[in-house]
Amino acid sequence: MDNLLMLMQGFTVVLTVQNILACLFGAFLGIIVGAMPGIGSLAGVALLLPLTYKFNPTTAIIMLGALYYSNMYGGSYSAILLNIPGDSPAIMTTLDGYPMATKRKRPGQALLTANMSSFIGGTIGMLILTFMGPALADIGLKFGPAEMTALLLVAMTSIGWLVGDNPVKGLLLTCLGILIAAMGMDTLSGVPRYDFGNIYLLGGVPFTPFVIGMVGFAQVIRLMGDRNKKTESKIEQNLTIKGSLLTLHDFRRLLPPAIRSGFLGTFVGVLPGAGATTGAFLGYATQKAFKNEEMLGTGAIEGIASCEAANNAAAAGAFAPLLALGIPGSGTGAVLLGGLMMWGLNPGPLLFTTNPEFAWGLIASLFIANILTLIIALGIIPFLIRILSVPIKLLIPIVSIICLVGSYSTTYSMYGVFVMLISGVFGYIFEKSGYSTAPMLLAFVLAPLLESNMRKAFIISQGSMDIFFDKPIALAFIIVLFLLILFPIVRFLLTKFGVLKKKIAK
Amino acid sequence: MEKSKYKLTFKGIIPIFTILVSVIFIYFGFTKYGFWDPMKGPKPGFVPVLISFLLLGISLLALFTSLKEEAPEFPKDNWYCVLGMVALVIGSFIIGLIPSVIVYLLVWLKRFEKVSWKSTFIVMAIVLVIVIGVFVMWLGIDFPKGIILDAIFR
Repeated sequence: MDNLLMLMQGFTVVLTVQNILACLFGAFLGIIVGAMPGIGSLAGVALLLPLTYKFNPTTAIIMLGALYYSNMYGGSYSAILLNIPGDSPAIMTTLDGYPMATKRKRPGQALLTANMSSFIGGTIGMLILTFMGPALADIGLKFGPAEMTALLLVAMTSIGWLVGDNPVKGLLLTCLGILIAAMGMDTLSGVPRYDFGNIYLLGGVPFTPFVIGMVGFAQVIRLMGDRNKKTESKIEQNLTIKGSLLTLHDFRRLLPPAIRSGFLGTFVGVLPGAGATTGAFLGYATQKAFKNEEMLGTGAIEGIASCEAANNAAAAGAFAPLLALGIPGSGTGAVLLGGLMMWGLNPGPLLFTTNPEFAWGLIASLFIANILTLIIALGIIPFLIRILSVPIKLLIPIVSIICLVGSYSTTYSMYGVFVMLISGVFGYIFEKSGYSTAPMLLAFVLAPLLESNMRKAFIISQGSMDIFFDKPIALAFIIVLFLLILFPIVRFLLTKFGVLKKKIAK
Repeated sequence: MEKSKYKLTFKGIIPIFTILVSVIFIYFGFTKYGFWDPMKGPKPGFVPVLISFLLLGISLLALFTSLKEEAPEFPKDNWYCVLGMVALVIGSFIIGLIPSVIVYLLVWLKRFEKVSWKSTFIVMAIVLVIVIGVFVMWLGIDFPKGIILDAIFR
């Protein structure tokens, strides 16, 4: 009950003209960025970071939160109309979305099914977040340096281990991210380190240009290869709002899978490294076990509803560990966390007690963003084909220049631009070589927290490792850590000795 | 003669790079910043050194596994946008950032992409609204004016 009262207080924080406009702007940009194939929520949030400097932290994070959340809506549009997922969580949406739009000739209904399911899934996720966030924070209050160190190691390892196809590569970039974050001033002793005599490096590698380069500019370099590709839709009929409305029967079909996936997706979103993509995959896989009016994969409403509800619920669920423990579950979460730290806020167990307006304002803003995004999503339907047909070759110079001016504006010098360019080139090389950069971003953001907690733990224990094994919570995290490390090794050995079947490439 | 199954590809370059990074961090961590103080405990080099040793081990493992992998391709076309950005940075030192952006867009869209004047002007209008409207007027960012304008107004 207290939580609902606090949520109501959160609404009083959000319901100002400035915050509503910020939320609306974020939701609108998120849908557009999500709809355009190839940009994605991570690059979208990174590119928008410099624009938020003008706002106070609450308004800024409301805008970024709305952008991240609405991106999940936008990702399904190109999946349904072009058979090209706007981002990875929308991959599953193509399976039923595109056949429903083309074979069943119901593109408007497919879009509205995705929107409605996203709304339902997201609402469930936010309601669970309202209760789970403070409960997680209460648990987090019991954590000392040893527990936090172990938890951070679990978070970093799990995302490094789970994202991408090779855990070794994920872990390699996790370590590299920690070392890059170590450059500059040592926060505990104030001693400059790893600056290599460079005056700019004394302040460390600036977060925003680093992220803009690693995800935004790297994406531009990648898009260069696709710039002559034409994205033409095979949809013959005109898309109108009226022609897209769902029948009562359609709504009855989408409701059960959307509710089921809403719950499932939220709990998947809470786990580090899992996120919206895993949520969508699991939501769709679970739906296979239930009765469907049409076979999944042939344009079934249930198929679209299950994955769309799950990915939006996961996006909402991911805010629980981010706000309550300061642990983001994905690359986008890491960028949001970096933004929070930049504005002087420290997400973690104390956030709900020291900055309740902020924490509850953000949760309340997600509810508002959910409603606003649904309205925008409806209004945008007639213009979707035109938005999706924007040639990539026109997007490239626009995004490049946003990367450049955004990086400059954070450091007020060309140093930021150089950091952006260098990290962009590295980001592109890493991604092309099969190294996912999300673990690196997460490690970069969490490294100062890990270092301070690890050093404090060793000061308390006078150098003994026992501190990680004597305390039950820390021990539990260490066991999880070992399981995470052992899981791929065991899987590899079982596959090698024929106990598990090898994946057969199609 | 049959080609060797094991070859050093570009994927191998990344672990080699991270091996170098880890060695540098270990060296400076031990020699310059310190690892452990018997009285005060961990020193500024403590965590970087630990992580560097871990990185060294993982990099060796990654290097070993990379020998069997195929090299990724980096098409020449993809690097043009990097060159474009470098030219833009150089241009902003000379004629200023905003004029450089206009020249960059004209050259990129008309000469390189060969798009219509209409599309060029639409893109330019969007970009200038973002750069001037949002960054200069709203956020109050003072972009470089370049050595020519600096010399005139000095």
